[in-house]
Amino acid sequence: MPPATSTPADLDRLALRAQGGDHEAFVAVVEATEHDLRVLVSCYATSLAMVDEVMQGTYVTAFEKLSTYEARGTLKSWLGGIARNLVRRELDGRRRQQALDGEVLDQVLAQAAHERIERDDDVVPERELATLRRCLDELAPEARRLIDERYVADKPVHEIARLLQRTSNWVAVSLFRIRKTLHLCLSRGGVTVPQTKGQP
Amino acid sequence: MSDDEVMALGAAYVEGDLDLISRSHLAELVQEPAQAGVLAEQMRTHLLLHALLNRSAAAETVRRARMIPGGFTPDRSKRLVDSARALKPHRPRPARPSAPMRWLTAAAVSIIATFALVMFLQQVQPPQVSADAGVRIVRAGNEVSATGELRANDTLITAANQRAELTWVGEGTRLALDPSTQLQALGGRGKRFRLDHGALAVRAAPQSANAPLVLQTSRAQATVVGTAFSLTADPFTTWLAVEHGAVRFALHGGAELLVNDGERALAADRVTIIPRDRGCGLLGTYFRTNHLTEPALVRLDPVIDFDWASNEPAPGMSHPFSIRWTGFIEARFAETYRFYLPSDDGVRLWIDDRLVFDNWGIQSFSENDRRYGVFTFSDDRLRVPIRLEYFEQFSLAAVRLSWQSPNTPRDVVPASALYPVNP
Repeated sequence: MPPATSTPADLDRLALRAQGGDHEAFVAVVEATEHDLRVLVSCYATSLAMVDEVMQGTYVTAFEKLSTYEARGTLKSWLGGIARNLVRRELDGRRRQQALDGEVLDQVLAQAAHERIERDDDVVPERELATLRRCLDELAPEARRLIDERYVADKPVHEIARLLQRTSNWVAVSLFRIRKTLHLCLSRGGVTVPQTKGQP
Repeated sequence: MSDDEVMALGAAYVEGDLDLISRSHLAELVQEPAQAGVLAEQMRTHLLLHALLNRSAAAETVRRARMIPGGFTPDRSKRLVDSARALKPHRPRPARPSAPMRWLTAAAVSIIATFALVMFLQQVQPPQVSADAGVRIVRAGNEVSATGELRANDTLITAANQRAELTWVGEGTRLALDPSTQLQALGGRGKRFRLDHGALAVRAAPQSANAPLVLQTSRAQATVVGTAFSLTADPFTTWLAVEHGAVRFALHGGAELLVNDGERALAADRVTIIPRDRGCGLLGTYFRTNHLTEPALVRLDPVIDFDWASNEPAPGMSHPFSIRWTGFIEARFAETYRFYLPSDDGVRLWIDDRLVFDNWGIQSFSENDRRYGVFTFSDDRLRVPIRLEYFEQFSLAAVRLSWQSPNTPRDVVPASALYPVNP
């Protein structure tokens, strides 16, 4: 197992071992970089399926091109570059395909994500995560519980509704409002705004 | 009002719980750029929360990473290697014969060639054509009336609702062409024909070994030993059903398989005898696009349980691709079955011409006990048609068809329950 927070030098050592054919070293690279890479991809993807798809595609590509990586402490950036290219290609493909299929919603999300990825060049996963953590810490306890049930415990909305003796619609709309609050907080660099009355 | 509507509908959309009508309504609302922005922000925050707080996806990514080199886990890889060995036994190259042996061989070849030339000169009488009105013969680029003899290189063509028959004077051999069939008479020794498309039924008297009745299709060749059978061809498959007698059946250039009376054989990517009393899989048509167009090959797949990872699903095919499996599914019990279809990417399933599972979208492979299709088999309909469509857009590809009923533990639907045709 790699250290919890691998330094660029740690990652380079793993990459060099992987280049020499040590497959466990490659798996260790994946374990050490998966979280930050997932955050980066989540900034631009349009669905959970797409996040998973790009993540897997990134590591497949990285494995195939590993011999071209030059160990200069830039492994995360190198992986991020691969992931960005895959996201771009995926968004382009989806925009074309969904235009044919009339899937307006997916097309709208793909268009927004495409504009974002063309505009932002400097998303730093660690910074996004730190801000999001600060925003989460500012949430009211009821709201935080909903977030934990939904994302940490990975419960579906109808199960949370049963647990809280509420309707599924109430849970889904409450989560929508909390995400709106968190989005505002993120866009202000971690400064929260008052929450709406009557909901967590 | 639209803000509240976007909130209610957008919340359901993010959770993946939006029905088709609401989806269409939300699609109208997000035509307004501000509302589209709200939906995009929701999805982005949802994904970021998932990335930060949910660690189950990370374990799956690492598991997949372990599979990257060959695309398969060691067990799976070993199974594939074993089955490949079973299909292609190692044949050591024969030792080069000595010089005297080569001279003897050359002499023998000369004698055989002379004998073959003599036999070639013993021409088989051309067949006589009897046909419905409108049936055409194309001879040297011109259409002639479909009566009299069918000569070498003639093409006999029946349209819809037309039939034709070939007979030989002095023997009981008969070739009956179904409607929409095209058959070309080939030159050479014996009775040789090429079935371009369509179907024909053959009743053959015992044939001379030196002048056999040979029927070719684009993929395969049937050599008649003296029998009655039917042959059906399209560009990717050839079906042979032998009523009695025996037929030697082979892919062009491949090893021959003797198909006996009562048996049915399929020539697709290989020649397979289709058993009469049990299933053997579904017929898979593989397409070069992600929307079931541009067919590339057809083959018999015993079970639907594939994990191609990022590998090609068949030689010469790349991602994206799509597949349609067709045939019949047979249940042991007249009861309600659940059908589970985890896939990467989209999949949809029809049973008895009813859509029972629709998850036609880009997604990752994940076991989800809450998502399944349902179908109830009845005593008089235990075997019904099945159609399964699948597409892969990008990166990793996998699909699995499993079932479960009160008397059937959850498992991959076995080959014995899947039939490429109704037996």
